[in-house]
Amino acid sequence: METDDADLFEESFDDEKVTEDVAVDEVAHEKLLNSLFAIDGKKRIKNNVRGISIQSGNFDLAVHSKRNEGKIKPQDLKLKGRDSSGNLKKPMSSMETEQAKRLIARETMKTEMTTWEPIVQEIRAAPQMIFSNRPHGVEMREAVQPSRFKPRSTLEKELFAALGQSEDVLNPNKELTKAEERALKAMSIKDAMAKRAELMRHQELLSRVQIRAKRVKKIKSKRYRKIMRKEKETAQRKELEKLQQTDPEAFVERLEQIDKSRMEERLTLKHRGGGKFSRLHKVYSKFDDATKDAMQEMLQKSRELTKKTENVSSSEDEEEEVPTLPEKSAGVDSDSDNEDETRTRKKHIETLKAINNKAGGWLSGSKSTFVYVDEHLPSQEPEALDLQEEKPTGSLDVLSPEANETEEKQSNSQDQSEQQEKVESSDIDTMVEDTTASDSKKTGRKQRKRKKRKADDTKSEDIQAQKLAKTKEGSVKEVFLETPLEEEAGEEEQLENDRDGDDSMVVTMEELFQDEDVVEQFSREKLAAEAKAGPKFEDTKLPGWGCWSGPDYKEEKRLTKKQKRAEAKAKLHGRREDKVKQPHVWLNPQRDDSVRKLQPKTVPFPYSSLQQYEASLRQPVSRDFVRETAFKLLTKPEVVTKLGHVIKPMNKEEVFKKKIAN
Amino acid sequence: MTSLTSSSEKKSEKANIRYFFPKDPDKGGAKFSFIRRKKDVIEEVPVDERKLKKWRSGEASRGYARTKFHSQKIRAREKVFETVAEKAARAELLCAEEEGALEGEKTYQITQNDIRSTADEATQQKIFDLRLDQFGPYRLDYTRNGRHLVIGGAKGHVAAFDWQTKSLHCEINVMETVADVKWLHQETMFAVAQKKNVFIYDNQGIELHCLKHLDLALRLEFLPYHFLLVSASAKGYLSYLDVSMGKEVSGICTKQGRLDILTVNPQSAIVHLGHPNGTVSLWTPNMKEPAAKILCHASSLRDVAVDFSGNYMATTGMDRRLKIFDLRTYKELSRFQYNKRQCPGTLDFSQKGILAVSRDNVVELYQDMTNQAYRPERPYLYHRCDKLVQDVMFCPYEDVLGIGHGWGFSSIVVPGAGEANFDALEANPFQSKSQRKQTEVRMLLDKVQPEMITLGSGIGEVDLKTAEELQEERNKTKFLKPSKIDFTPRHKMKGGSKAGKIEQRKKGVQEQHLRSAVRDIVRTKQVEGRLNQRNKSRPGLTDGSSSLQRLKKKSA
Repeated sequence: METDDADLFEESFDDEKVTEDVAVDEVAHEKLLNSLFAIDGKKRIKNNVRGISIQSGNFDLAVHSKRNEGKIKPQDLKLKGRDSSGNLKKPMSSMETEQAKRLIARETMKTEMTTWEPIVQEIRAAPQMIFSNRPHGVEMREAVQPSRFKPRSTLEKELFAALGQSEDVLNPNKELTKAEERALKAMSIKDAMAKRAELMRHQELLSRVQIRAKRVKKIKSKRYRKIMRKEKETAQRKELEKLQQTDPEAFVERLEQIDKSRMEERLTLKHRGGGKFSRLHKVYSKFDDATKDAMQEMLQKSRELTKKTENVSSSEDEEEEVPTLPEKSAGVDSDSDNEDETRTRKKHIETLKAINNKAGGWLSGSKSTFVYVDEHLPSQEPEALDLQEEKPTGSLDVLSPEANETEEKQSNSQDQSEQQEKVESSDIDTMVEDTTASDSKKTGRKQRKRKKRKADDTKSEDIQAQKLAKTKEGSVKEVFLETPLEEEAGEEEQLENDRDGDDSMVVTMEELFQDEDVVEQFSREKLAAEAKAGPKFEDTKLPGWGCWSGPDYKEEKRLTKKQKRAEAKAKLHGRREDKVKQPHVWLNPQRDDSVRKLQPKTVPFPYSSLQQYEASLRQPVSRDFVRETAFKLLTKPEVVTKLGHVIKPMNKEEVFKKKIAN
Repeated sequence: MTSLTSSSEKKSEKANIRYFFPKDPDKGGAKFSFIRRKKDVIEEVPVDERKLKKWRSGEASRGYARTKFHSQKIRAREKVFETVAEKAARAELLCAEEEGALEGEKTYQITQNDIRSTADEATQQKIFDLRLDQFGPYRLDYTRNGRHLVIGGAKGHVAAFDWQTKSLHCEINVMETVADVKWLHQETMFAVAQKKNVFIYDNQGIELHCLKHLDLALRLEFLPYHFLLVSASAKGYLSYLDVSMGKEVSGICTKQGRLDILTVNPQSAIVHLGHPNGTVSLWTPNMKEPAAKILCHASSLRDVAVDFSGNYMATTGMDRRLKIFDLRTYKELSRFQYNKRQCPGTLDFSQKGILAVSRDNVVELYQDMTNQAYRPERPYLYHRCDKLVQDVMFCPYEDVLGIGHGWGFSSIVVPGAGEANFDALEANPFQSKSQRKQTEVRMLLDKVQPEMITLGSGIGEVDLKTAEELQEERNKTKFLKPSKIDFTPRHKMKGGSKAGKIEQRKKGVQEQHLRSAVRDIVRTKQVEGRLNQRNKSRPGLTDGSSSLQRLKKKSA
């Protein structure tokens, strides 16, 4: 190899030729060397140079020769694996080479794949991907024209040739055949026009007749039909008479035919009087003689029609009576029907009366005696004790009940401005009693005392009640509503004056219900419910267990671990629960249990916080909540594919070209 | 000559007409095309921020998601939400109808006759009385779209009609006392609470069902989104009947006595019951106990009403008071006291928040009752009927109040009561038969399950209670302690058992032990976590449907 190199140094060369020469020479040269060494009987020591083939060397040379210098210097040749000392490195083991190969393969693969990464990311993050060759959206095209028929087989060709020559075949894009066209050309314009006009008239007449026939066919008038039928019958009769005179044979034939048709009709048993019309008339016939006669006539006719002709055998005669029987029975029926009707009517009236009696006669009478229990009529309502209590109707102030009371003590002629100043807070307790008269105040006090006694028994209840009393509710101002119309107010006063005499008997609603202390009741109920809902802890230890004992021992209230834990849990529970701390409200701790089953237990995957998750669900999607366009936007499909459009893998060149262009 | 000139004119006309030649479709041309304006031609006026704020459904999500990719997705979604709000704000322009109003100071002096004399003919038609003095006091109900009306007299007279055209659907006498009438989801069916049972009739008066398990019902309500018919009985039973399946969803014994006050919160479908002990209890079909109880009056209640936003509740009591409560905080907002011997009775809120209060034979209408700053002392309107008022109800999407009283029914006009712009997808007063059918199908498809009725948290929230418990569990496993070991080193000669050395060896062993223990704990936690994750997707394991369930004790 060194010799090779040396040769190369010496030669001033022409690229391609040399490379070819070398490529050819190398094999021959090797052979030659081997044979030479074989003569010696020694094995030739071969120094392999790794990493450089002759070609690559040539390439290098070719590159460096571009410097337009005639010669290549030794430093231009960067030969790998050549030590400074001139010795070659030890070749790598097979494992190492494998490793190196794999490493290189991995690197190349990685670079190849990473180039795709941004594109894949972009596609994944895109709001919509459309896979179709065609542009998305509405596009309309002309209908595709089928290619013209081409004859293939011999028969087809023959036929086509024959037809093609014929002049009577209609071409697809023309109105007339060739023959017709020729005929038209042959005709003068006048003639053609006349002919055309005649044709048109004929067509029009035809269509007119058709339309008329259609219309006549659809006529539903019974009268018209009847007239038509009669006309037809007379015409037929006339025809028959004519026939009798002219052609007796045909006449007999016709008669037979009529007979046959009659029999057919008899088979259908049409004229039994079962129609709606006849039934109605049956009912009317009882009251009207004319209709009665008409009915009779009709029945007669039906009997006549249903009668068998004489030429039928006698065995059938017995059956003949059968159709008459129902007639009779029908008559009986109608009578019985009538009776039934009257009977049912009577019954109906009787039941109605009974109901009426039960209901207190409201069905017949126009005045109702019905008293509605629910309603509490003020006219029935007991009146106030004192007239003096009544506020003057003109005042529009916002007043507390206490203010009201003070006002009550004073005369009616109090200054209104003063009243307006006395805006104070009120609470439920006073609310109950605010309108009680001064007379009943003593009883009220007594009741309060009684209440207190009760409350002593249950301390917590008392606390609750106090809370209730202290509640912010007290700050709610009370507005007195006015009777808007003076006439009404006037009426009221009049009413009051009328009833002045009954004053001693009358009690206000508040007084009536004062015994029922709803507030206390509510707080009791609330406490019970809370106790029921809270975490339960029961000390199962025997008394004295785990405690010191002795004469000087005092029981200390120490909480055990379990108790502490339970308490902590209760606290946690309480914190999570009632945000509403108002005493007049009780919230069920289990109120959300049914929805909790449907809610996620943790914040689901892509969301990092509760706020994010809840924000993602805040926007309703349905058409009922948002505009139609918004709905379309919200429910845009992520991937759009089209039927029959093949989704091909991405073309690398195209994609990257686009990228670069962008 | 004339003909010639005309032909020349025609020619010139022809020359002006330009023809459109379709391009060859194979070369990318289309025969028909929709003309679109270029985007830069349209100039979008920015929407007012206040308007946008109104239509935004909540706060935008903050922070990053777990991955970059998902953060991107969320951000894109937020943009879409913003455009949705913008579209809604822009569409406000289309709500062109304005609400009616009465202006001036003493509006209560205006009578129905005054309104009739000044208003247009269409409005005049809305003021009418039905004198039905035989079957007296009447209860009434309008359909959801406000087009149809059913009235039921206490003595058995039931009539259903289109009140705007005044065309009668049916009129029957059920020959029993009638406690209440209620339309079901559409005008094709209505329920009547009769003496013993609740009956369902169609709009031709044909009896479709007799609901025997809803016995002695006093009040009926219908939840249109859940298809639930709610009935409150004289025996204290509250029952929910699924009308779409005919199944009773739940029957609750309230233990509160006679239930003759029943209202539904239109936003949350929670049932409000009023009791003679002054409390209002809130019910859902999912619990046998009330979801909440509020003590409203110190005396017996007379009626309860909830406004259309679902945030305010009005109550009247025997103590002659009318109170307004905030249902979000359960606080009493305002309190109104009536004069002596005037006891407020039935109540109803209109869509725009006008409150109708009846007392004896008078109906008073108040505006802005839920507004804390404004406390009216006199009513907005005042109407006097012939007889005791039994029931009042505002007609949806109309400025009309229906009053059922002892002598029949009267319809009065209350300007500004109804929502002026109706949403045809929600309730269409002008719907055709086919639209009605379609809406019925869609309503059935969109039916909400009764489990979703809840007082507090909604469906879009995380179950915090369970989440906290889970966190606690997790925290417990975090603090697993490695066991301590007692190690006494072997004795070593040549100074190997000096005190320091012994301690050193002890520490070394303990450290090693600790490390291995920690490794174990971490590994077990990882395995557990993986198992939990896997078990999540296997419903049989966590549910009661597991095959191992049968081995459990059957107590409780």
